Amino acid sequence: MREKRLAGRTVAILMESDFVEQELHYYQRRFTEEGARVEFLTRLWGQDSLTFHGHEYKEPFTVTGDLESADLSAIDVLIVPSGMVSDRLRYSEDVHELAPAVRLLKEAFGDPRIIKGVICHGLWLAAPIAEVVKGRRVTCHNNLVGDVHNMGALYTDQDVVVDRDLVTGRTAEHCAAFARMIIDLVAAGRPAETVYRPDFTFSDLVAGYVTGFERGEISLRTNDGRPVRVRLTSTTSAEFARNLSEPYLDASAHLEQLLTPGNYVFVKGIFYYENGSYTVEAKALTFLGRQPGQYAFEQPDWWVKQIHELGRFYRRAQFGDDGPIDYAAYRTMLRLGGEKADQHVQETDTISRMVYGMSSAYMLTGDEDFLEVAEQGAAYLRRHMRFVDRDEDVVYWYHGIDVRDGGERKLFTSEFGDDYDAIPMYEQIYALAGPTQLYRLTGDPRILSDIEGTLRLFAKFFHDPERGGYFSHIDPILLSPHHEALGPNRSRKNWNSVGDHAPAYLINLFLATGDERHAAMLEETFDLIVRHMPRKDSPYVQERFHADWTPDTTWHWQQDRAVVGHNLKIAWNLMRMMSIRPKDRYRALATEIGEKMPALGSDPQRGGWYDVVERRLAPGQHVHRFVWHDRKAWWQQEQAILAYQILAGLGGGEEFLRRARESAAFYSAFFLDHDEGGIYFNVLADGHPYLLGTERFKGSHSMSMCHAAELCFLATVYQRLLLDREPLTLWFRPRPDGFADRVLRVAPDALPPGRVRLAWVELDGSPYQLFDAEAMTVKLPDSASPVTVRAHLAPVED
Amino acid sequence: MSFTMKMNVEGDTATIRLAGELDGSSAPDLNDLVTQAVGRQVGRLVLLLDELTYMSSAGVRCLVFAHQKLPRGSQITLVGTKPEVAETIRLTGFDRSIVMR
Repeated sequence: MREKRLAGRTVAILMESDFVEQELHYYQRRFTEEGARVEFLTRLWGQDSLTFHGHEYKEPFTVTGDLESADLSAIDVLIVPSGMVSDRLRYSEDVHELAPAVRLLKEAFGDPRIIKGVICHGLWLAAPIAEVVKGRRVTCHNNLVGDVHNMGALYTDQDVVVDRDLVTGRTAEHCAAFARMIIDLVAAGRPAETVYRPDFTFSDLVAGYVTGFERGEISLRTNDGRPVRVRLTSTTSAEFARNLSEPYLDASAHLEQLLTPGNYVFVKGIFYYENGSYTVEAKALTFLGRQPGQYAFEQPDWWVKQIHELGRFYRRAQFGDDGPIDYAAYRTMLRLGGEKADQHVQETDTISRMVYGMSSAYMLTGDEDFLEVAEQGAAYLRRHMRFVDRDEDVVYWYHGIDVRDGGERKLFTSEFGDDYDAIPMYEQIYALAGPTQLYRLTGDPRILSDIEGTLRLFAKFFHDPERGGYFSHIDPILLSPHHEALGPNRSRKNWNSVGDHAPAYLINLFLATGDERHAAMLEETFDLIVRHMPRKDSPYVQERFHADWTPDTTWHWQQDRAVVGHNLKIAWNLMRMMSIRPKDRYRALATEIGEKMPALGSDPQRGGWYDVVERRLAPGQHVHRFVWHDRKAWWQQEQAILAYQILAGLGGGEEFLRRARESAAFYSAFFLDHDEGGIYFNVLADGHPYLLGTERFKGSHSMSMCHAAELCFLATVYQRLLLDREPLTLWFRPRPDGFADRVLRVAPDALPPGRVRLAWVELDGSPYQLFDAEAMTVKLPDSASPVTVRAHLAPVED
Repeated sequence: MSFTMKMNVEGDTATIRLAGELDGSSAPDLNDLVTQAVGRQVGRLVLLLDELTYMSSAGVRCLVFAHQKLPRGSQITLVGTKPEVAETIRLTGFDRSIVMR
């Protein structure tokens, strides 16, 4: 049943003879069906009731409500209807006194809580109290236009007009639209007079393209096409976006050249309310490139430099600048400047994520220090975090260890509230992220053996052979997803347990091995995503499920909520899958998400991407509500950049390219910590870093050089190979026992077949010929020690 | 060979004697027992294993989980561990967290 929007409300309708029958019956039914009490009031002249007759059909209508004793405090809406009702009610036997109905109307106008609905000839009743409508916008029957002018009202040629708490309608013919407007206003819980209109001074960010610059005023068009005008002041500063470790670059001497149409700019400004609207005065401008239309992050070395700086930051924070790499000193929790907090936990996933970042940094830079940090990290994971289960022939990973006082207490189950006392799939998945990325470089058979053991764990204990997919948690003793000790995590599946295999390790594992088993597992997970996650009840995907794939809308913080970045992550990875096992429905869903998400998850005024929102709108809402805040998290920006880059790179067009640039612009302007190094966790909607609580840290469970490094690595790959059609050189370091088939696979990501070829290979500094250009593979020689391979990839000319 | 277990708590120390083969099916029973010890928040858990001929990985999981749940600084000591059982434990890395005698 539909919600009754006027439940508990009272609508009073004035009555007299010569009413319009259809109109009155319409109000009776319409307001009643919305749950309102409908009351008819007239001047009873001391009688118990009076019976009136309609204008058209002379229909009798008996009224028992006396307007002279009406209690306005119990009335929410007072309607003066069409016909001759108003004229009859303004009769007064004493020409020096107002008629009782006029007095009632005057009192009602004195209370902005009461909606006054006046239609057709109804405004006649206000003639003796013209001050109540003076200067207000109204409509009325054409015959009354002169009357309302004389009353000082502002006649407006519309069927229905709202002026704060006064709703007017043209004629009885328009009673439906008139009633609808009244219902909307009452349901919204406030007469128009109390609608909040900001009129104070505030500061905010505008992101947009310059459309003009004249006499110190910039005209901008925001990402969603709204015009904004911004004035420069004598104290407006301007800078260029800069990379980590680069000094401040002043741009204020180049404004005339930079403020040319089409150039993208961020404006931090002050909004002053005056003369009925806002004047925006710029205080700080940030330009994305030295020349109009240039984007610094599209320079060939932007992301490569950035991953180098990130690698140095985490190297320094964990082990010192150039001291020995000793993981006994590793700590998960790092403060803003990289210093260690008084906390002695080493989490498996944060080490694994750092191994991922360092491996990626080596691949782009060839800096062997990064490789060393990665290799030692993988070895540490093997020695301290791994549980080899001989009975089941599987491997699993501890949540972490507590190394206080030199001891080593295993933290077997997750220490996080979401996953407490359970082994969450999410943590096991991310335990593989770093080792798998490192395996791509070295082919270390010990790493592959652990990956295979963990995959057997997934197949044996997390997989649901009947309904497909992977459960999100298993219990620590029996390794069952159905154990009652799991509580709200019992027999559940979620976005991470199904969808995070691909981005965290599985695509990389397929790239490293070419093993079709992994392609098949990818296909299974993507088929499940396409089948179960898009739902008709919301434009956002469903992220939590029961075993039978019915939605779970009750779980802990998630409830019926959407993580914007998960939607984008699906689009990004579906497009990667298009280069492994393509399906029309993968591309269709990725494109659909890419097209609709800007309106659902991005900030059209300031740029950037939001965090968690309600999947569904409550009645009367037009905007999906933020669950906790309107901050923007670094990793969700990453998902947007990669999703739109790959959508654009795989034939998606200019609109996706624009979104990729806008997303990268926001990230590059606001997420880089130029003071301390590294990347901020969250920024406020206007781009200022949010530095309170856990969001101040640089090493928490997902921060630790994972997403930021992944962005540097893949943005380089997509920008150069797919968008700019420029070559890219990568570094590898195969061990003598690396890769059982002695084949090094150098494709940096899942790329469309035929788009990129391996142009040349260098082995330990010398040209090397044993490679397959099309397959992007290198046949490795026998060697006694690790060899350094440089692989030069080049786009194939059309 | 069947599996038997017995716990004795004295002061701050819980002593558990395990005998026979601790396979996957008997692990929940051991878990119940160590959960009792955890419930009493003992500072020392001593396992007498000289009569234990086999310990499944599920058995090790019970001990690891118990160690996580015991108060910080509490100690688990294994006495009389046979080489086969010690190897199972070594493969889980748990040997780094306990005393084996």
